[in-house]
Amino acid sequence: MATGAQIIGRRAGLVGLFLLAILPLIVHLPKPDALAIDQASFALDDSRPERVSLPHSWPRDISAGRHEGEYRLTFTLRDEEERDRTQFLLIPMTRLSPRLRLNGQDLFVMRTHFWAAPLVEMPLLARLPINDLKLGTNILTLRMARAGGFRIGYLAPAYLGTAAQILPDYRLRSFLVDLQRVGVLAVYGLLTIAFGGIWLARRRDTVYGWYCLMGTSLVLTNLSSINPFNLLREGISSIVVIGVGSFSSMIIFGLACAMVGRRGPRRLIAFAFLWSAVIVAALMAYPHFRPLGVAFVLVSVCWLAAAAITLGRAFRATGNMEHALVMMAIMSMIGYVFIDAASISGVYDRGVILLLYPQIFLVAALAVILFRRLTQSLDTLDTANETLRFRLDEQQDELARAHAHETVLSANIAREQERQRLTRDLHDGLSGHIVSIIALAESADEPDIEKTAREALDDLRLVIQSLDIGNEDIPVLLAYFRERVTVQLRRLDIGLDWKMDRLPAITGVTPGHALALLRILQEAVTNAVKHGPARRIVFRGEKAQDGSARITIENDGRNVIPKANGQGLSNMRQRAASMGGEVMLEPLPTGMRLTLDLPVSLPASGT
Amino acid sequence: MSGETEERTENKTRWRVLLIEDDEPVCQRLARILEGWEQGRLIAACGMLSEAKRVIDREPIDLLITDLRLPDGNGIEAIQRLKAISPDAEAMVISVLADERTVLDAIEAGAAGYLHKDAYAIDLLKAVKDLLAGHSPISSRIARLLVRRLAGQETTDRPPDAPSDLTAREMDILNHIARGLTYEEIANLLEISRHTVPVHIRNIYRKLSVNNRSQAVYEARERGILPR
Repeated sequence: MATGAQIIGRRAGLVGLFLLAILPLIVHLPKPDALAIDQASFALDDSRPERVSLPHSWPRDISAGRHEGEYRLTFTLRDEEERDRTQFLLIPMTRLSPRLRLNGQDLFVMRTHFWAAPLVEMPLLARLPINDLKLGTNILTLRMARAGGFRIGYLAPAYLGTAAQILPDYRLRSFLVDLQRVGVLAVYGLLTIAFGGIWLARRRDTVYGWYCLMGTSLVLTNLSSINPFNLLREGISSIVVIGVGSFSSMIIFGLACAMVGRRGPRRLIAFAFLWSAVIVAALMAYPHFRPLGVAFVLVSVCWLAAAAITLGRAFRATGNMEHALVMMAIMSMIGYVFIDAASISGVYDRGVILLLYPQIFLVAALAVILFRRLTQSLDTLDTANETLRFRLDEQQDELARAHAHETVLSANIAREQERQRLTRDLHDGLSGHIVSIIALAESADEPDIEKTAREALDDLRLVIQSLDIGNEDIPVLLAYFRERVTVQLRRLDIGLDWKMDRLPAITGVTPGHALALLRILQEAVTNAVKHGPARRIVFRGEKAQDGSARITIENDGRNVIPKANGQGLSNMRQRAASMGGEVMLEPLPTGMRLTLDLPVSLPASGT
Repeated sequence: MSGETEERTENKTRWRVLLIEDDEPVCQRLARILEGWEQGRLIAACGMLSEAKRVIDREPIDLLITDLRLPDGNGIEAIQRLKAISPDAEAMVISVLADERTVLDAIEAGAAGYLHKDAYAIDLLKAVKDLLAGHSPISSRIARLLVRRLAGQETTDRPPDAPSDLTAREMDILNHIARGLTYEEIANLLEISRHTVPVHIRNIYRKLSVNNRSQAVYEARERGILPR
């Protein structure tokens, strides 16, 4: 099925996707080229301050719930020039929204955006008022407070410098951390609306319904994680994140099933709602029991793993890149769940929650899938159009054929009606008169008149018979001739041997052909009776070696071609030629043989 | 010239024949031929239908030979009247062309054979004798038309025991004749005697006429020709 090049292409694609997935782990942002402070004294709650080096996370083992921590950073300004260069403070990553004081004076902190909830990490930028800076030792105090939950405080090294040194770095981090959140949310929202729209229009494509549902749940997960405007209390926010997150993971499993065309578990959605409600309720009841939260997160990871396995199997079976894309996105989500868990618990604190990153990945995968589907639909539409056009042509042809057939039929009906009219006229008029002439001539003993009248009537009969001839009616025509000639020959006491059942079927018979054939046969009989004192006439129909239809008429009379017969033979030849056939007369040891060869498909000419 | 004919000649009276033909010379010619026939006796030669009907009502007739197109009606009426009064009587139509529609109409009215008006005396008498011996003639064209009619009938609703239902053998024979085969060829093909073919044809004619005849009997009773 797949060619070698396709397989290589797929493998390269998968490797590329994997590298993309681990990008945040292998790439580190550059540090600002400014004065760095990486030592501080740290005091948790009211304990004794201790010296720590930055970056620093609060101890892992602190109890859940409310805590406060204070970092004290000192730096020395040796002269005015140094003081002038110390205009901005940047801490690339902080958590729990620290309050900042310089030498005992509260400072305005540039908090990036309105969704900068305390739990969310973000860069901190502050302008240091020159009046508050002293020559000599200065003290920066950062105070963080945690209202509840598990997230511990974090502080990266601080940088002091001019606007030119500090601001580009700040903008980069603001862009990466903040705008990424907004961007992912916005794109999720858009795609969710798009998928929802598709699903509403095409209910039977359940995959789009699942896409829409997944988009919605991920938007909710991210919203509850960002917690804009502090809508949720700090403690509740992290609980809701776990609840909505596990809802999302189950929906992702449902989506995976739908993508590979399998029936997912029944009532998965209802169960997902119920389960996330249970999680939220349990965590609210025991907010300080950390293993409970960990267990719930692990269950969610299991759902994601099931989804990834489902897609991975389908990809191996079908090679469908859609499955691979979504599988990679889900697998990187699983990876980042663990990395983030390590970060949150302080085991390996990178200062940043990265779970958003693989979601960008998922968004990209969904967009690719959507547009691929669109392209495929357009292709299908083109094919369908082509097929329809083809079938339309076919039907037009069929219609034309039907029309031609209809024309033939109506021509036949017209001919039949015409023949009936002609027969009626000949019957009522001419033939009646001829019969009267025969009767009169007979009673007046005028054999010549009687003979001529009989010939006229015979010829009239031939004409009428030939009028009512269908395309393949040669056997009926021959039977009519036989019925007539039987009576004629019986009267003259001449034996008739007739065998026509091996004559091949002849098509394309017109009344003209029929009349020509009847006249040839009649002439042959007349000659046999007139010239040769025949006692027996033999008619044979057979297939000639060249495939044509052959009728032979043999008599046992004289075996010399009479000169007087010249005209009659010439007439027969002309008639045979009008049917595309030929006539041959040859003497036998006793008698004569006339051979008539006709094509099995008579020419259209000859009326 | 079967045994039956001879038997009748020896033991019974001669066939009483009624001729209906409106063309004077033709009528005279046919009458002359029939008068010369030893086994028959020409009761009357009529030129008008009404005249013939009176003869049928008055005299017993064994064989009716009639033209169909008469100045005051159709010869079929005469056939029907005769068949209603004496079902065993035979009827033939005479026509110039013996075209299949004319002949079939006559057969359905109860005729069992046909004659050409210009037939030589010897041919004419042979046809009459064949008919009286129980042999009916049929042309390929008539058989073909009959096959078509029967095929058409199958599509319409008819009671399954309708009397004109032909046997498979009769249908075979009819089909072969319609295809132009001779009696001999048919006899060989169906492995029957050559002489039974015309008998089958007579049966076919009889079955075809039964429906029409019951209709004719009904009409005859209505008109008081037959006791109710």
